[in-house]
This record gives sequence, C-alpha cells and structure tokens, in this order.
Amino acid sequence: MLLFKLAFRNIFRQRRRSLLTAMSLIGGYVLSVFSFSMSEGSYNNAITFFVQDHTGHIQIHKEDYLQRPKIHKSIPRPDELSAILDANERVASHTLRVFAPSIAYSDTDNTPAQVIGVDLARERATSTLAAKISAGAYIGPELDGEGYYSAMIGAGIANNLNIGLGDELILISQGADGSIANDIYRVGAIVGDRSSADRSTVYLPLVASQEFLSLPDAVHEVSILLKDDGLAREEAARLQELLPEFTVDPWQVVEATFYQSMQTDKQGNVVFLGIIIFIVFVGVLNTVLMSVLERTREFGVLKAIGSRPAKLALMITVETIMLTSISVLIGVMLSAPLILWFSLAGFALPEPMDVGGVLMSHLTGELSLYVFAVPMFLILGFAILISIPAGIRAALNSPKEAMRSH
Amino acid sequence: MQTASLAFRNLFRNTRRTVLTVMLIGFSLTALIVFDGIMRGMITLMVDNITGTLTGEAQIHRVDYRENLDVDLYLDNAAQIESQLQQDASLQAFAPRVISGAMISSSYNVSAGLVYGVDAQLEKSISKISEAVVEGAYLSGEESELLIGISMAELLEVGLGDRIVLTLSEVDNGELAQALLRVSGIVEFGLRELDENFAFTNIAAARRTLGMTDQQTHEYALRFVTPLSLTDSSSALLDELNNGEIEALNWLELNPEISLILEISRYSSLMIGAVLFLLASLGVINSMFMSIYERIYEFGVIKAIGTRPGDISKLILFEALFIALISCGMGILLGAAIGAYTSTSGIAFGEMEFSGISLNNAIFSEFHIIQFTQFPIYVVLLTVIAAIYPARFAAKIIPSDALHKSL
Repeated sequence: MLLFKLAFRNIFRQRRRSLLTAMSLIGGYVLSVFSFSMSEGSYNNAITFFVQDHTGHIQIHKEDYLQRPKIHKSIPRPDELSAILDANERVASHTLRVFAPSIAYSDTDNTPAQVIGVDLARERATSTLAAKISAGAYIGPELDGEGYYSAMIGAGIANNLNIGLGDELILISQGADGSIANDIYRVGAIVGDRSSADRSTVYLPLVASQEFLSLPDAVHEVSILLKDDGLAREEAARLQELLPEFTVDPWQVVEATFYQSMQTDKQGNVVFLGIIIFIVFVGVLNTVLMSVLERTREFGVLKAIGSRPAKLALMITVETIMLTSISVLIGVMLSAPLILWFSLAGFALPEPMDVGGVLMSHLTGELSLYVFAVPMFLILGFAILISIPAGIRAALNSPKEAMRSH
Repeated sequence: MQTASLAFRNLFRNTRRTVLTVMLIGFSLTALIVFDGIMRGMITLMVDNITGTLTGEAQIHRVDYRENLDVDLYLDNAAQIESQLQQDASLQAFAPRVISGAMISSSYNVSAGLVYGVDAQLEKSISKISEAVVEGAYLSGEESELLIGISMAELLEVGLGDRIVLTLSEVDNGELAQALLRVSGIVEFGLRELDENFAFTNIAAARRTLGMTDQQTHEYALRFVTPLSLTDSSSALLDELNNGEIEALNWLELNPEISLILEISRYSSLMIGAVLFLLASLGVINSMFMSIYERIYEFGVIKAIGTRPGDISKLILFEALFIALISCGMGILLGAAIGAYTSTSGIAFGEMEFSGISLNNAIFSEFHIIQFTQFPIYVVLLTVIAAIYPARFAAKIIPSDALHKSL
C-alpha cells in the first residue's frame, strides 16, 4: 500500500512534466479510440445493412451454387428444411428464394432482369424488401382475376420498360428442364429507386417463380437471420453438421470480397495505431527515464537504508502504470461524448462508397466496450514494457555512486 | 554565434535524452514520409486501374446514356465526332464502342452480362483488353470472335472454341436478336466486375446484331497526350464536345466516388500529420523542460552574473532548432530508406476492393519532393514553436529562487 501511495505522490512531484506526458497519452488514446470506433461502426453499419437487405446471417445452398449458380443446383423439398429452421431457437427467421436471369418485356421495350422468387411471408420477416417498396403494396401469392401472378419490379425496370403499377410484364428465361420459360405478370409494386442495388430485379411469389422455371418444390437459397448476430460462424458450422447434403455459409463467406477488404483495412488501422502509440511512448520513455535519473541520489539513499532493488523497480512500474491509467481514464471521459455523438449522428458520405460489392453510405461511430478496451490494453501494455528498462536502471543503482552524484 | 555553439554543446550533456527526443521527432517525420508515400502509391494504383483498364481518361456518350446504359441512346454521327477527335492535337488515341446488356448462354448455363463491341486495333491504345488475354488470342476482326471474362467462362463452363449465344434487343425497335459466337479468347483483368460480367466482340459484329449502322456508337473512350491527372483534369476538347446532346466527361467525373476516396485520403493524411506533430511537440516541450530543470541552478548563476533573459530564450530556441535539424536528418534518412524499400518491393496489403477497384496487387510507395522539403520544414518550425513556452520559462527564472537547491 505504501508503494502505491509513494508512486502516486511521485507523479505529482513534477506536475508540469506529468501533465505534458499525460496530454500526449490522452491524445494518443483519444485518437486510437476515435479511429477504432469509426472503422468498427461504419463496417458494422454496412454489415447490418446487407444482412438485413438480402444476405442474412447464414445462407444455405446446394453444392457450390454461391460461386457458380446454375438453375438445377436447387434444394429439394424446402418445407423439410423450413421445419428444422423454425424449430431452431437460435434462428430468428428465414426465407426461401429462387433465382434466374431473364429478359423482361413490355409491349414496346425489353431489358435484362434478375428474377428472384421469394416466400412472401417469410421474406417480409427476414429482409427489408417490404420497406423498400416505393409505390404500390407488398404483393400476395395468389392469382388475380385474369389468372396473373403479381410482381414487384425494380425502379430501373419500370423506367426502361415504361411501365407502372397494374401494367403487364412479360418475363422470358430458361426453365430447369431446358424449355423456354415465359409468362405474364401484373406489376403490383415498384421497389427502390433508379440507383438501388435491386433496380433490375423482379420479385415474384415463390410459387410463381417455381412454376415459371419448372422447378417444382425446390429453391436455390435459404437465407437465415439469427437472433444473435455475433454467432453466424458458429451457427453455420452447427447447421452444416446437421445438413451435410447442403452448403451452409455464414455472411463472412457469402460476402467474401467485402469481408476480406474489411479485414485488410482493419489490419491497416491497427498497424497505423501501433505506430502512433509507439511514437507516443518514445516520449513517455523519455519522461520515465528522466524521472529516474533525476532521483538517482534519492534511490541511492533508499537503497542504503535497505530498500530492495525489486521494490524500486516495482515502484517505477507502478508510477508509469498509474500515470498511464489516469491518462486513459481522462481519455475515456473525453472520447465518450465524441464517440456517442458520432454513433448517434454519424455523417453521410457525399457519394456512397463500394467496398467489395457492398455500398457504404455512412460513417458511423461505434460505442462499445471493445472500442475503448483495445486501445486501453495496447497503451497499458506499452507502459509496462517501457517501465522495465527504467525500473532496471533504478534497481541497479549503487548507493555509493548515487550519493556522490548531485 | 556563441549562443549557437553553446546550444549545440548542451545537446550532448545528456545524450540519452537528446537521442530520445530526436527519435520522437525523427520517427514522426519518418511515419509521415512513409504514410504519404503509401497514400501516393495507392492513389496511383487506383488511377491506373481506372484509366488503364477499360474506362480510359475520358468518355463521350449521349446525355443520359450512362444512367441505364439504354441502347437506344446512341451517338449517331460517328464520322463527325471522329473527325473532330482526329484533328485534336491534345488527343493521343480514341476508340469507339457499342455496348449492350445481354443474356449470354452456353450449352450449360446462362448469365447476364455486358457485351462490348470494340474496334480491335484502336482499342489497343486505350484499354488493357489485349493484355488481359490469358487464353486464346485477342480479337483480329474476324466475324464470330468473342472474348469473355475468366469468371464468366467458369460459370458458363466454356473454353476456347465453344459456342456462345448472345440474346439482346435491337436498338430503336426493341426486337429480340441473337448472335452465335465462339469463344476465341479468355480475359482476366483481376477486377471482379470485369471478369464476371464482361464480354468483348468486334464492333462490326455487335453493330450488326444490334441493328446499328456504322455511324452509330454508344461510347468513345479517349486517351490524351498529357494524361488527365488528378490535379489537372480539364481539357478544352471535352469542354468543346459537351452540348445538350453529347456528354464528354473525364475519368474523375465518370467515377465520382473516386474523388471521395481521394478526398478522404487527403484529409486523413492531414489529420495524421497534425496528430503526429501535436504528439511530437508535447514531447519537445517536455524534454526541453526537463533539460531546463536540470540546469536551473546554472541558469540562476548565469542570470545572476548578467545574462539577459532574451539570450537565455535564444539559447533554448537554438537547442530546439538543433534537435529539430538532427531529427529531420534522421527522419529523412530513415524515411528515404523505408520509402526506397517499399517503392521497389511493394507492400502486400492483402485483398481489398474499394469502389470496384481491387487493390490486390502490392502497393508501391512513391517519393515526392515535398516529403523531403515541405515536411521537414514544418517539423523544424513546429519544434521551434513548441520550444517557445519552455524558452520563456527559462528566461523568467529568478536567480534567488533557482540558487536554492534541494536534494
């Protein structure tokens, strides 16, 4: 206890020096937390966005459909799979999808379109599709009076074909059996605007798309939303064991390019922070060594009256850690409001940036223990590291020499 | 002069402290030089990726064409535009293209993609298509040739000589048209979007399939004698071409998100510089104070015997100046060494893809004269400014207080 009291008092013996050292520590810490928070926050924001937009936390496909989509690589009898997933308490919801490239026609024009057949009720609970509708209403799975299914079309298609709500839409594609697939649909809703990612997509009721593509009772993709978004990999591995006949991938695999870009960028950030903190600590090392040299005589006296070398070394370490801790504490107090503001408000980029196929439109801060703790441990680690040479120097002090110095 | 030599000698009274302070400032400068070099390298890589791969330095389209790549919005006076382009001395090369979305089907699979009809000869001086051929041969102008991206080839399960059917719609009337082509080459750009979605054929064949005359073109890609750079991307030719019908834009305008990335990187360089020097300045102030405290007795004595406060200030400022100069020497040497290493062997950053530009190649850092002129000058100035506070403190030392010496 005495040791701590002594160390604490020693910090205030040279107030100006401690203050200046603390300032550079605080500066380094606040900068680290800020840049950490911004990168975590912005990426997490983007992840949340695409997970909810279409990816989900986990996807199930047949074979390598994810890398090489082919119409016949489909999951048969999806109801059985749905029953398993509905019974899984870690799964919040899931949806079934069918994909096919096609050409969409109106009376006068045509344009390429990506057809996505979705289980309407499940899709509504799993993705943000319903929220993206800009005109019309979320469609139902039934045939209308004239025997047409409804379709929700991307705004780009509506624009290219010059069609709107209630108009007819003709789709042509290739069926799973090799036949030419074509059918007429009624536009029930427009999705997004002309810059949305799904501007060239046609959403059909699942059953309509299965009939269209001659793909009865089969789907291409099952997208799963988990209750806990941190467990995608663990749960994917568990499901994979349960379903050996399919391929189960967490979002980290589904959005692999984005994930790699993000990891690389984050690694770069850590290296950069490491450099900043290193530079801060060259300064801190300077201070600590100075404070030891200054007290050479004092340490000599302490040793002469019986202090153990280890105790002196420990005192230097405690001093350094104390100063660092106080600085970090002040750093937390200073950075918390800043981070809070950025996590609530964030700021919009003038142009959304595409990172590995994922659009990022906002820079947002993240307020979490992780963001504060990582730089804290980094800085404390460095503090302990540099107090070692200074401590050794104090410990090796020879009383006779020391008391001769002035 | 005497003050200067005194200051210089003072630095070596406590060599360890001087070394640590020099390291602090020197490393900051090194970090800044290296960081700036990497940023410049990254930007060059991005710019080369954009202007060198397919886009060229500028493009001409019909107004509104880019929004949806609507095949009906074509330029219909090729001869007139081309003669204007040929006459312009600032232009090195140009290439016409017709572009259409298409269903691209093989016997095994089908994919949606963008088909570019290009002029085999002219395209060579604009884009990297001919260099990207990894299998088979580049276009020679023969009828049924088709180059497809490597990822698309995998998806369609086709190799050289296999048949591909393009299904697209004719311009103006929207009639469905099909063309049977054979894979004559496979291209790999290393950019996901291009390798997955793009196919290239001869412009004559593409025009015929789309029902276009040889006066009708969707796009001209341009290359200038003096490359349109980040800092100077204006061109009289582009200004002249722009009118209500035609839109001529340089690569920065074609890729607005790039200017954003550049803005961010410039901004972050500035911020990093500011923070580094804030930290370094705190270190300088701290270290100067330590050296003053150590010599407080001395200052008391020289003041008592008549040294003016101004001279003492000057002494401290000179010490700071020398520290800054030595630091700059060290920082420049280290920065140049790291820069030289990273500019020849590159830094592998792992895979990244921003704005459709993949940075999976190593980044080669770049030297720039300002790294070795402006940066060190800022460092010296900031160090000396930081030393003003301790210098004033030293000047105000009161001899009678200073001469009381404690344990």
